[in-house]
Amino acid sequence: MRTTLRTAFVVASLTLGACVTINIYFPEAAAERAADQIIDDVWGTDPGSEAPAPPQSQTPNALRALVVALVTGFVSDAHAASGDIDVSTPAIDRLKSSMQARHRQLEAFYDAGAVGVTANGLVDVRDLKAVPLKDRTKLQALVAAENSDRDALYREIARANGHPEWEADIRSTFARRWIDRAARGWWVNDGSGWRQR
Amino acid sequence: MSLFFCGRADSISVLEYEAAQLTFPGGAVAGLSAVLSLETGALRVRADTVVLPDVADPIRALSLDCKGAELTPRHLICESGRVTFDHPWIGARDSEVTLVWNRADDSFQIDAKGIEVLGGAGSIRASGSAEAWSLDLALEGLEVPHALSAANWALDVAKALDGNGHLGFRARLWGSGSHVGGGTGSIQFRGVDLENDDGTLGIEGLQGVVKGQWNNEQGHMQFSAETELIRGELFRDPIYLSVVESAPVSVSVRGTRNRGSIRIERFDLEHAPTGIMGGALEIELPNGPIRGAELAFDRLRLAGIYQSFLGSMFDPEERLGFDVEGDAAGRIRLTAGRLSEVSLQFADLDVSSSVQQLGITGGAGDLEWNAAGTPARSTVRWQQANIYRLPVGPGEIAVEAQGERFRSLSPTTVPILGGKLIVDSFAAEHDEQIGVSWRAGGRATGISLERLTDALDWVSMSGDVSGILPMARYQANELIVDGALLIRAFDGTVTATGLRLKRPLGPGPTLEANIDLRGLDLRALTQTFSFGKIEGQVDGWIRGLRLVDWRPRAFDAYIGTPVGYSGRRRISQEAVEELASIGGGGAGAQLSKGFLGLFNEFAYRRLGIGCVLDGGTCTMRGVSPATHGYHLVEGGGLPRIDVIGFTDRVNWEELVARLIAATRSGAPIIQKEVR
Repeated sequence: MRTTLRTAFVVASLTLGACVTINIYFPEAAAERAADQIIDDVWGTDPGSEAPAPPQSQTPNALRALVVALVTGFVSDAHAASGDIDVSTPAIDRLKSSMQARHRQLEAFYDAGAVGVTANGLVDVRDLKAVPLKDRTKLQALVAAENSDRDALYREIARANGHPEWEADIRSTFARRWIDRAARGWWVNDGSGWRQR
Repeated sequence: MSLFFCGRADSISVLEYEAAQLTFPGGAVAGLSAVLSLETGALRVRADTVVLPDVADPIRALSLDCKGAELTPRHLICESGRVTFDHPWIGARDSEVTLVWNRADDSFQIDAKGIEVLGGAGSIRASGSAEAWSLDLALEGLEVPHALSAANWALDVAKALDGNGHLGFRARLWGSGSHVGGGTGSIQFRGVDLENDDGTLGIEGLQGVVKGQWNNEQGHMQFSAETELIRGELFRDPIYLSVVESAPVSVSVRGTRNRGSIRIERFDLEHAPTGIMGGALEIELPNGPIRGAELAFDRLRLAGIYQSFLGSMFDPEERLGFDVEGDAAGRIRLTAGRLSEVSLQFADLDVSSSVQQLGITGGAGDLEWNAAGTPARSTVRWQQANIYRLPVGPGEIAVEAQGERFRSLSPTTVPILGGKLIVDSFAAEHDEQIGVSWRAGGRATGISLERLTDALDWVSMSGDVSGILPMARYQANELIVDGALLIRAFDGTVTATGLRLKRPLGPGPTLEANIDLRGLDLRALTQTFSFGKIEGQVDGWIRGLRLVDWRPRAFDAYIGTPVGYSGRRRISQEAVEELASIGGGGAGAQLSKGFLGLFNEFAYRRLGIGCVLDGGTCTMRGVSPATHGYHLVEGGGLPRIDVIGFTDRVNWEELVARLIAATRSGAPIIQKEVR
């Protein structure tokens, strides 16, 4: 009987163990905190209405990952799923300071409605006519440079955190936060067309 | 058609004429009626519609009333008439009119004054006969929005334009029957603003005049025009020009228009700040595209061109702060709307950067290219250049272009810092997806390390840099050097491999490399850095070196006595103190105060120091572990002295400060105990 029970336990353990799949879920809340930190640095003090980040509770997916991880003893993996997103690498610092410097020139164009924030985490020329003729070439070049930095930023954050496959998620998290935190009067396009905040 | 005479047969008092439809070459009048009272001189003419040659919309509700018309055997004269009509371009209008009809030769003269049209007012005079007529228009104060509406019928481009400001318009047309034989005219721009829908074309505050003339024979039009713009701003994405009275824009054009295309046989443009250019082009109608063009640049002023638009495109944030001087000349050709040939010569090119990223003095060259893929040879020369802070001597590159691929024709030797950089091969290409990429292979010989370190404002070192660069590749804003760069310094060698430079001209350039150090003579090394005196040799490495903005961010570095080294190994008391000060302790500082102060130098068995930099902190290590620390120096002989480091982790900035202080002052600065 003892042998049977032991055998059953071993089989059950192996079966359960064999069924467990460990997934590292994108840490949405941490990504939002990281996005807000970078937006603070680039745009300065919150330029928009008070649009706090959503509560930093675990998303259902993250929670599931945590439970699975605890059950199977992979606590370190669960920690990776719910921990902070690192945005302090030299490359990210460089991109951030480049965007920060550029924002001093772009800010007036946001205010004038010439440039807006888009759903893909980038900026776009919304109304070139809102800009004096002499600044139009410059504005377009600024937008191109800003988008190049933003693309690199999302890529670098994903890479620096050991998950290049997170780039699209990081981009969409940033896109949402850029839009939510855009200043009153700025133009945003969340995919349904331009609207003024 | 009917003609009525009213009154007694010997005294006709009223003449009446009616026609349901009257046609003439290219036009027609419908619903025409005319009544002339011979007693009162009252003339009344009405027409439902009048279709004019080459005019899309008809004139409607035309009426002419003349109170004192005079009919004689020779003339019909109406001196104080009033005409009203309605036309889609200009709306309902009325004006004073004087009409003279010479019955003898069937000639006429019509003067209409005070015509309010397109927001302005003016006069029209038509005279001559059906066989040879002329029309003079003089309109002032025309409002641009109205003029754009009126121009819609002729120019599709006008439909997409908004504008403001005023125009003056004068023209004289002549012709025969329905045929317009030619004309002269002028348009005055007075504070004109124009803009298209997407803002890629714009004019602001334009003051100037266009004068032109044309002849039209059998569908073949010849024209010429001269434009003088004295004030305003012009933008055609991406080119922007600011025009001021002291530097006006002059354009002259001569060409022909046939069915389907406009051919500009010659145009000349002069704008003192940017240069003089001319050429020919053919534009497909309606509204482009440009079929073919040849533009000749007699003289381009690169300073003005850079300021006008190149600077905004290339350096919008003014990070590089380029100042460009020089002249260029040449020509470009467009075929089927695409760039097909370039031949440009430039001279006296000076490029300087306020942040010293890149500079060229005395640049000159001859750039040749064609889209057909026929090999074309270009050369570029310069007297002096600088890359970052490195001065580069005179050089010349000869390149063959074939389509969007370029390759060097012969090795290029560039003097740099007392040595030579020899570029054996160079090739570049442009790809729509990845942009510009290039690769080059070459050698460096005898580059003075002393001059290199001086130029970079580092501690002056003696030696030279040489090496073979099998291939350097630049793509996607990253420069990768295959092969090894060899530096001969301090009687040993420094070998750099895995060199990668990201964003060489962009913000935050990042350099990555692995460096191997072999057989460096410590005596020369310590003398160079004023670091006391150490005799012996060291090997070592700097692995995973990463510089961001030329500041170290990460590396694993170590130098130490080579295994098996049997040469002389002595360390001065001063060097021991310096070493101790770098380690963050003050043990060495106590040397001179005790028994050991009697000795100037000591023998040692081996020494070594290392640092792994990560996150701004250096994790230190020595040549071997010691109790609670690590040996920086393992003594040998008597008196034996060991230098032991106890500080495991040192802030990098602090360590650099200590190194600088140690190499400058020659005295320890840290007085506290090692732990």
